[in-house]
Amino acid sequence: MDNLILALGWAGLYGPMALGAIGSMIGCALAGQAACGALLETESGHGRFIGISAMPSSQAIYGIVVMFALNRPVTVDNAGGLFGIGILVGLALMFSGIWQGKCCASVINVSKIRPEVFGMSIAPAAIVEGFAVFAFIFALVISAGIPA
Amino acid sequence: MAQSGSYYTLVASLPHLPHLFSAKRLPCSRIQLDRRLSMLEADDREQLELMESLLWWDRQSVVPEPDELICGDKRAQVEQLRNPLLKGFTLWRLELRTLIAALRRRRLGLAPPDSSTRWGVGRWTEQIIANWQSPAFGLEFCFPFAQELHELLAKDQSLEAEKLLMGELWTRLTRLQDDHYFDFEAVALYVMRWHLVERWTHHERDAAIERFDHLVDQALEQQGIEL
Repeated sequence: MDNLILALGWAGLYGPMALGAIGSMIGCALAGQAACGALLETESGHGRFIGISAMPSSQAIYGIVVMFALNRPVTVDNAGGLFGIGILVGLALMFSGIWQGKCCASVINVSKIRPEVFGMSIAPAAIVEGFAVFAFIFALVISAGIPA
Repeated sequence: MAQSGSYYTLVASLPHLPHLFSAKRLPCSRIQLDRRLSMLEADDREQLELMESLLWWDRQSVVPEPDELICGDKRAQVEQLRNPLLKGFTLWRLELRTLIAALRRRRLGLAPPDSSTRWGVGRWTEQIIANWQSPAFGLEFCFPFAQELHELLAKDQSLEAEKLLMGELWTRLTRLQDDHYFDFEAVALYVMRWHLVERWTHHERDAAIERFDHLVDQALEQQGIEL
């Protein structure tokens, strides 16, 4: 039983990094595909299409920071806390990465038609980023209470 | 593709379609569109081609065939559409075509079709025959514009009737598109709207040619020149 608890603790420790990276991969891939399509249709503004398609990469970075904040010797006493915080923040980062990628794809699709709405259309992607930041910050705050 | 049935690159590569009645020219030719559609998976491409062959006149056989054979073929082909949205829209469009055929038939003073023959496609063939004397065949609940269409055809305003039909089709396609962004349905609905814009812009071209011919005739007449 102790081994299972320790395994869950390790999963919680590496979870934010792995799940955040999965979210970033999918998000960047979705937005990147849309950017590639828009390149065929437009003659300018290519840089910002490619730039915005990298926006969901921040989730992987948040995951790395949370992983370092949680990093400590895994014991039976702290494994539950590591698992709870690590997996939940990882899931939050993963889903925010995927949905932010979809938002970015929409930004690319509409600003290809009307470049002047680029700034406004980026708002939904920024709001999704805001929720990822909430999950990230409060994971850092609450991780301070996990025994070393 | 990142997900099965997702077409992020394809949808983003399609040029924006202007509103139907404000379109002056096609944003891309059929050749350019086909080049983009080559990104579709083989199965989706096949389904889209089937839908186009069912709905657009330029894909119909030029050899005259009996109504019964055409209707039977169409029914069988609709059943081959596996996508529920495409199937639903295609069936609705063919039912609308059945309604138009009945309105035209009645306008010519002909008797209702024989109910033992297959003369139309969809759910309403029996109802149309049963309500032959009703202006919209009692189909207002399914086609709210049927009454207006009947009135326009009765007044011989076929251009207005055509415009009404195209507008209704455009509205329906736009509403369906609201729920689809980067999937196969979004691509199929785009292609359907592209066909409408193509038809509308050709209408304008024909009108321009007609007007040009009229002006040339008028000018020649004024100059007393005969060709």
